[in-house]
Amino acid sequence: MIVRIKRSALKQTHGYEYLVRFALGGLATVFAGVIAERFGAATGGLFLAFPAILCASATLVEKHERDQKARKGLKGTERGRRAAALDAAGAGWGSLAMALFALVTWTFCALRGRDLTWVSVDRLGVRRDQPFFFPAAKFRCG
Amino acid sequence: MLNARSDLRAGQRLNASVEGSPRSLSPALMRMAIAYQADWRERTLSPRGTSACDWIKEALRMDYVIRFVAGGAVVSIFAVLGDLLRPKSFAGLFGAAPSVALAMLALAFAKQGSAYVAVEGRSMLLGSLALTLYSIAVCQLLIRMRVSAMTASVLAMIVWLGGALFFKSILLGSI
Repeated sequence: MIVRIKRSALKQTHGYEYLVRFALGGLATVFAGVIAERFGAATGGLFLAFPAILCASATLVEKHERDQKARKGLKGTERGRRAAALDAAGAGWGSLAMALFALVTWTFCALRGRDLTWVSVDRLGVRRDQPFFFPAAKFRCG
Repeated sequence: MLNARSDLRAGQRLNASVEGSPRSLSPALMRMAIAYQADWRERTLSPRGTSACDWIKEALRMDYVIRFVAGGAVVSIFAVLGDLLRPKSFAGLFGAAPSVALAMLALAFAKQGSAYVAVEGRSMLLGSLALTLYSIAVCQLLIRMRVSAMTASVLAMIVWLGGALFFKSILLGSI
């Protein structure tokens, strides 16, 4: 796979589409913050991987491909759908990279304040004698 | 004495006298002073003025504004990168970039410290696994069910939410 930069793609994107993405990104961040404040960090953290951007991105990719075909007098519905599917497939791989990012963040932050972490984590509702994952397991962690 | 009850400074003086020389006051005055002391402490420790409420509301609003701007900016940067790069499957990687997470975790790290971010990071790991399921669901809906991108991405939200809550309940023990 040869990766290249297509500058002309920026001209296809209208100003309002950037605004929509900005607003969606901002709203997703605020929403994740509200959930974290209301239900705690453990639930709020799930929403750090909320697929708001992917939703907007797939829709825009489909629209751009359809418009490109329509300018040539062709019907681009199928091509738009396939382009959006490719975008989503890429996002699937990206989500694994995001999982790696989350793992590194978790490990780094847990190790950084190791002594204080357990005290604070106790306050957040995780028992010290239970592992972070599989709370029903019998072994000790940390 | 009644006038003094509404005066904060008089209350402070009275507190000082009660704490300093309790035996020099008569029992009735002592009871009144203790009652006033409790009332003064309650008023001092939990101010009910509208200005304090306004200040808290303003601070919360400012936090949301910062989150909105930071989140929007990071998401826009990744979206532009996704637009610029080809092929599409590679550009799609940026659709799952940790854009919301970057803004949120930076703010959480500054405000609540590393322990809080560790808990959020752990949950984000589960959320990103649910995002993998979401991407697969979107692909399948687009290719097999032949629905539009908007319909597919909205319908697949159910998969994401279900997956995230399932992983959380299995691995962390509670929803």
